[in-house]
Amino acid sequence: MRSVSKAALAILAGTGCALASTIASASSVTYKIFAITDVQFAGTMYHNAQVTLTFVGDTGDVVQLPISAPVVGATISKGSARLQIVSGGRRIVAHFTDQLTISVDQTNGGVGFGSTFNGTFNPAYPLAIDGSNVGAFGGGVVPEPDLVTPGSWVDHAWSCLGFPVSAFNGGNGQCPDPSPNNPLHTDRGDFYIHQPYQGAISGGLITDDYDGSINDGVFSIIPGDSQEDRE
Amino acid sequence: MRGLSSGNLAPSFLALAFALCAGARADPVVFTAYTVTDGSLGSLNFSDAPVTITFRGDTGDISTTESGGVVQQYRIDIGHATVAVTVLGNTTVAQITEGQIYVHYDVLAGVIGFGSNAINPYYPLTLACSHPYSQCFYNANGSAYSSNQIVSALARIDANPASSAGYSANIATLPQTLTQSGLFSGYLNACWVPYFSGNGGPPCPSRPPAAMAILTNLGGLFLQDATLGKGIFSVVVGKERD
Repeated sequence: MRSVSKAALAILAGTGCALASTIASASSVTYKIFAITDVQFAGTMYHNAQVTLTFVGDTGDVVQLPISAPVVGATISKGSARLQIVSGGRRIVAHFTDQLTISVDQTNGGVGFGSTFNGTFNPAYPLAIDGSNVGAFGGGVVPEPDLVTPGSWVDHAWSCLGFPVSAFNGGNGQCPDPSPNNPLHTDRGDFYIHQPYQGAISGGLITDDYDGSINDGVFSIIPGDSQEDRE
Repeated sequence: MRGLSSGNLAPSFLALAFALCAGARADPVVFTAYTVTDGSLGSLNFSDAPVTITFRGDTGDISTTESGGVVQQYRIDIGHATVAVTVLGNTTVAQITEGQIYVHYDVLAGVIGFGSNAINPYYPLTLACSHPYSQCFYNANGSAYSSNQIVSALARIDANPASSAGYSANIATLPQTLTQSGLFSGYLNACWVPYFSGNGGPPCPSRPPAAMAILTNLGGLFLQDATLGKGIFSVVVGKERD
């Protein structure tokens, strides 16, 4: 997601689907992302918890990113999202009442679950992946995600408000822990996700929008309303 | 010979008993690796599919190799392993035949995962510093190897503590052992033959002969090496809830 400027993403958040054309016929689709990281849910911290976010939507609602070339990608905001946390033998399930957005930047190689706070779209919060496996540097050996075609990818996992973070792309070099001002609301309490394992730090600042996270995550596009996610 | 009073004896025996118990302490442990790759499981062929290998054992069965009083390698061979492959949302789980795979962690080389005695130490699924490198060596003068994954970052910081400035402080808090709960990420090594001299060399041959499959109750398991693949490896110590 290196070249996605904040301005471009603001355009995405502001104009949304209205200006974009749909790129697929309608069929149910499930997006899933998994990582092991630190989270806070309903006031309790969970260290290195297994976190799975699931979004069920319809491929007919997938639209092209409404930003100009050279960035190419797709997004979908219409759908319902679910959270699962597994930690210490406990399994917690909740449903997001805040709207999450799935987006993919095929130009820079990033895909995941995003959110909007105060009118600013965060493509990598709560959780996204990016890197060469997703297609960065043109080196992808598997097809890049398009939010329609089924597939799975594993790469650097980001939970970063204000992504991209590197100064090269206009960021402030930081992915701080989310503050009480940035809750994601669920039907069972507020959810926060951290990015504890960061790299490519120089002078205290993250300098790379790929290696800045040294944790990994798995993103999948699954046809249908994934049966295994039903309670 | 001076006799010990019961008042002296009891604490001594208690201390000894505690020490013996502590030394032999055994807790259930679950090792899990997550990745995305190609392969086959019995009659199921898959491409770019989430693959999870899980190995349940006991920390009391973990052996170590030390050098200079420092543990460099951990290994456990005794346990029950499964493999799960998810294709289009449907997950197939197979029981891996006992003795087919083991868990190993080479702290200095930055290598962790599942090896097999019959095939090679890095197959079916190992995470390492880079690809195709099964062994990386770090020193205070730096290294040509990448260190943008947890398993390699830890090895790099061990060799050169000053390099910790390039990472968030939480990295150094991660246990470098198989006996405590921990988390690693790394580049996928899933080649059924060792990379040339352990470092670099030609690409991995596409598929091993059938006789070199990992045996499961659903048939042979094959995983394909992936040039840009990465993966997650977790260690969870403690009882699982039903």
